[in-house]
Amino acid sequence: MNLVEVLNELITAPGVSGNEGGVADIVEEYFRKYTDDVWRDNLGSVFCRIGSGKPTLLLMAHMDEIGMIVQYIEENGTLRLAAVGGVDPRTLPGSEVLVHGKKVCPGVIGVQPEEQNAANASYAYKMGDLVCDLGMDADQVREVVTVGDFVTFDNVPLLALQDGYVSGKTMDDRAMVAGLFETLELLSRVKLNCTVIFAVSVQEERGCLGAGPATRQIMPDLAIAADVGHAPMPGARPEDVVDGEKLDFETGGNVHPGMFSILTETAEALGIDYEVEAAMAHTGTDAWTIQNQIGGVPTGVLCLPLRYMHTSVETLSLQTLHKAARLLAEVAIRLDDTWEEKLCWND
Amino acid sequence: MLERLKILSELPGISGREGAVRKYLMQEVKAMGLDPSVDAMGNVTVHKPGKGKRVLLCAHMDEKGLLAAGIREDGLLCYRNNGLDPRVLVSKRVQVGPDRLAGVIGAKANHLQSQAERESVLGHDQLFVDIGAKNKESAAHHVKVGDGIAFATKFGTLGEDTVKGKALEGRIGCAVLLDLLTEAYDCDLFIVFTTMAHIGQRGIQAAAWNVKPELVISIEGVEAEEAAAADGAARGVSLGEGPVLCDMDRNNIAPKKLLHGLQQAAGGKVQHGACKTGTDAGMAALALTGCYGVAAALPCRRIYTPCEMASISDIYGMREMLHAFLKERRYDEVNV
Repeated sequence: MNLVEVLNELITAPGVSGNEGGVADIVEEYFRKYTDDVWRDNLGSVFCRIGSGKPTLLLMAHMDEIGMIVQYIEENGTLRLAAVGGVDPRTLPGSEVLVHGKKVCPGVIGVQPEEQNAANASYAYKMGDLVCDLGMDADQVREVVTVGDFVTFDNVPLLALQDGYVSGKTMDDRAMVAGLFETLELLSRVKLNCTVIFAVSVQEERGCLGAGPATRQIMPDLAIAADVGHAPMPGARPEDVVDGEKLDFETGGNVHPGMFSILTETAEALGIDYEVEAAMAHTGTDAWTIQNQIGGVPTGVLCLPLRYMHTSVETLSLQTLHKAARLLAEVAIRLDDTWEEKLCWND
Repeated sequence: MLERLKILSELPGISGREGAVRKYLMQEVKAMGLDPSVDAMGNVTVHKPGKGKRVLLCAHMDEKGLLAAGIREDGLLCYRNNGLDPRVLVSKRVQVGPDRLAGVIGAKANHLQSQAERESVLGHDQLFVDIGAKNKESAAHHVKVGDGIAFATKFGTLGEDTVKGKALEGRIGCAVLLDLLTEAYDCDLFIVFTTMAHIGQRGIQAAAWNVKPELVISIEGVEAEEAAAADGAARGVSLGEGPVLCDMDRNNIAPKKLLHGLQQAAGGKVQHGACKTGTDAGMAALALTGCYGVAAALPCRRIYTPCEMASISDIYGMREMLHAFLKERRYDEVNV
């Protein structure tokens, strides 16, 4: 699968948490290339099903993105913004954004010069210090922009770097949405001994909200949340990151040991390098929500190492993304009626 | 003029690494049938001989940016800079070296930050340019210490009268001067595209020596502060109100007659302001035995950031003012 093409389509579509409609249409279109069994739930998550019979494996990645929302329009027409999800305001000055009003308006984030002058150079800007400037006069702004309109980072296409790395906005978690498409493509060529449901969820960045209704609807026997993790970057401790060339499997309370073994054994069988990350509780993925639904779902977490998460220059290796897709396909291929034994507690 | 400005804005050209901009300007000037020359400082000079006063019009090619200073074991690049606020570098795309290699400047994910980290500025020593190289060896195939690193912002328009892009504060002047080269004037005209304005107006000092002008006008960018006051009151110069005549800059007090001449040429649609930095004209005015100099500046919002903003009507206003000044021989009104 040409992941660059797919990623470009995904990352340039708007989908701030709670407003995922734009990207959902693209997800649905891709799913329909492989199956007609495609649907959405009331919150907007998109699903498709392949295979049949027990067990039912749920593979989930989220399509929502962090972004901003218009909170107030100043008299001079500049916009005050509030964060939706974990936006680091220190990444924003000088950034280009799109304001999704009556029409889509490009804008630039800056500081009111008065505040810029008042603040000394060692002051780290907070959300309330920043304004969005649309380069239009105040009356024009009020015609097209309303408080509550959502704001995304500028929808620039993917940037190709060296050694197979690419950089762009919203790789968290559109990268693994693209990964799921590739898994689906791989699985569409084989006969499965299980049911696989692909779920692309909404509102993960607001606290994994979309995963609950999705899981209760699907009633999976086992589940894997496919998300992004941290790759080495300046200032990060070695124990918090995983080499960008390897897959990252989470372990800890949020992960069923049987699912963890399925992931690691499959990776070893395929000769794919991985590292294990310990999460005390929340893995920061939809797995947190999936795990305790419908009486408990054995859940695993596969993360794709990513540098600079929640900036507009999220950077990852395409080869590693291919590996993640292949691994998820192999997990599904290997599932058969022995699945319950694999999930027994070995205490 | 705006098509040329788009190309100029997007080209990389930090101080001392103006090659790509110089190459483009040479090509455009030659295409007009003119004969540009390059001096030892890298300035591009175009001479259009005439019988009148020796007039030098200039704009600077360089922009504030980064210079690759080393490659770390993990393949990231450290850099030096010439006066950029580190707070505008985070989460931006850049272009590295003459081959314009793609790179990004990231920051540690906010999930891994302590409260103290969130409240402190990421300084230049904590920021690095990432070209995706796996390690030092791989990076060294693509990047050399001393390569220029510029922002990779795309030029574009916002609203009806605003352009956005990087390096507008210098390249607007280059675009305006290219346009003026298509006109014919009576004076002995030298159009100079200067280097290294952002490291102390170095290029113009050599150009002034070579040209020996009687009168110098440089086109600059000046910080616009119209968005300043929360009560809506304008402060400083504004976008859309016309070019700014710099009564004063760090080195120079502009002569009244020259300011008056430009104001007349613009039909009164100008703003007056002081330039906090040095300017090419201010520096040239002090060169040799001294001459008349003034900086005419374009108001720029968010100057020296990856995404500056300027007014399209100001750009044309600048062009018309300079054109009328030369055409109406207003330089003759400026005499000792």
